[in-house]
Amino acid sequence: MTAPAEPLLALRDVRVRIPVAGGAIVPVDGVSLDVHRGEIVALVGESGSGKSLTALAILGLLDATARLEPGSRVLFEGADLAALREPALRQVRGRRIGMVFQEPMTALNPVLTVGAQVAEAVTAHARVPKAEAWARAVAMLAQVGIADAPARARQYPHELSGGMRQRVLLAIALVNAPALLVADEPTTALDVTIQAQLLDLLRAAQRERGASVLLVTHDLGVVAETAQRVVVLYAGQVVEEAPVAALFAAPLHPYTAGLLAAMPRAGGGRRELATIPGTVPTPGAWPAGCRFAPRCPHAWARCTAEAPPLHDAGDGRRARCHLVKEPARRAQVHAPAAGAEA
Amino acid sequence: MTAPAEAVRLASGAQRAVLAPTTGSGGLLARVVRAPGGAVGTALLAFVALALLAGPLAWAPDPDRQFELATELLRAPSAAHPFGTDGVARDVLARVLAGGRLSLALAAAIVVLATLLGTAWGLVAGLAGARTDAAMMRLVDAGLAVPRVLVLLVVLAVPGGESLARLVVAVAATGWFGVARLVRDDVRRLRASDWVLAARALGTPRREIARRHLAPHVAGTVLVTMPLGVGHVVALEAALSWLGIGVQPPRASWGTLIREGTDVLVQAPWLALAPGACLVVVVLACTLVADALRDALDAREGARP
Repeated sequence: MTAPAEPLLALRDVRVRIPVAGGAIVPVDGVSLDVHRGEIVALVGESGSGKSLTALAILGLLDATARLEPGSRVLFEGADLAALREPALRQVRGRRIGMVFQEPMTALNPVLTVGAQVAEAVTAHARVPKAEAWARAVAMLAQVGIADAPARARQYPHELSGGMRQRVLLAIALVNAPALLVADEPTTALDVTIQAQLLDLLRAAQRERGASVLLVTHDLGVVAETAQRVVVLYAGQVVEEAPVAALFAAPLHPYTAGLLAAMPRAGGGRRELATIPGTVPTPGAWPAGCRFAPRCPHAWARCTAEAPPLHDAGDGRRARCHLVKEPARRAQVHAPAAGAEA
Repeated sequence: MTAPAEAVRLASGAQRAVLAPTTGSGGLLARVVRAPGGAVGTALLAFVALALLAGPLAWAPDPDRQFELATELLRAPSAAHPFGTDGVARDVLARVLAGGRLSLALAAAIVVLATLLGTAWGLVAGLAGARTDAAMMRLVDAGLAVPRVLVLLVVLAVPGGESLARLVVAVAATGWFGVARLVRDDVRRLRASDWVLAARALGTPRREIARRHLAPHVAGTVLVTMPLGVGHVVALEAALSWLGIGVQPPRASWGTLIREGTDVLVQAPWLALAPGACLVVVVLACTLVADALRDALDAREGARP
């Protein structure tokens, strides 16, 4: 599926450690993933799976206490961002990698006009006259679909709707034409209709500018609409990785299957939505063996005893489940589970 | 990274940002004046300032001039002496005007100095690492815990006579702790805000983040504390003068005037009443302005739908 070309972004064994009273937790525990040029990759997981921390770690934006462990590599355009110091990282942030944040209400400074905040992204990386930075900001705002951009640019964030603010955030991320866009739950705070418009904009950015997108989300609907490849995170680890169509057709990991079953579907009738029993274990309280085993309907003795590796399942698919290598048991599991669960 | 000079630069840049006009609803000052409380407060302050500055032109007597002791001693208010005369036959109105000029000048100097000190301290602590921050803020806690008037008694009661400079420095040096704590908390909170994270994510240099994203908010906080500080310091100066360690007679300040007046409160109540009333008016006006200022800043920052 994926070409052997060098990926634009490659996370290798990324570990984030946060010291806590009496030790340390590792909420991101050895995440590896690739984003190729022009590709939209979705990073999916429940709250607490470590997906947002992974996104922040790419740009070295972890807060003061959290640390990337030695050995973590963030390979981007020939450099290891994890090894770069602050001034060099600043050259990458906003210029080569744009970041879109989750909360359009709080990610904009309330006392600066939105135009000034887009222009700030321009002047942070280029010595251009103020007027030119402003002109580029206004043009960018128009490109992300803000009507009457010259007037809107002079307004403050509180004078704009949530959807417009999210467009402003997107404009800030795109104004320097970055090679990669990291979008952390960009649609979570928005109405469904606005969500769809924003996803269109993301896809347009990919199509027209050739930008790659790492889309962090918990919303599988968003994934199905937007991404080409999906990486599923659970308890700080990648549990499954697959092209989007294959993943939706036949998930390999029981966790992914559970997530899909929990999705409301049009025409599904008035059935109760399936849920995955229990919650994501908190970092520091991860079970031995497979981290999903306590919640897994198919777990057996081996699962609690031995942590499964991320098996390669062919066709660009990987899954962290013993079932991948036990075809007999897998057939047995899938036969009755398919209808009975629903 | 933030020396006091840097802080001053930050603060002044910030004020410009805060005072910049907003779209639609007018500038900050316009908002303050439009609010009912703000209008009253501003009008009162303007009236007091006008009276203090232009008063001597309309009301000529030298505040130190003694009128005829035999006839003009402790006279009740009259046409000749609208606020009456004091125990050595001086015109009380002239003395209240002169005292007000001194009291308010002292208060302004003290508040500016204390605000600069506190802002610088708070900025450094807020931007510093956890340990430096803790050490600096424990010192502020200590400063707040020690009774201020007691410290001032010790510092100002040294022999060598009256020194207005020493008074300003001493009162300012014991009055910046509250501002420092406010600024530090603001900086800490803002540092963790999403928009600062967003600014970092787009590669904005740290100094630029401090200037564009921290300073305007901090300036808002600081701006609100200043009028409140003026009211407080005028009252404190009066208290110190009353204790005999502030402004020394025969020089007039509202504090010394009240002190002189209390000695003869029963025979000549106007002596303490005139400067006392002025003090109340100024403190009240400052409070009203600070209140309106806070609301105006709030409306700008908040306005959360």
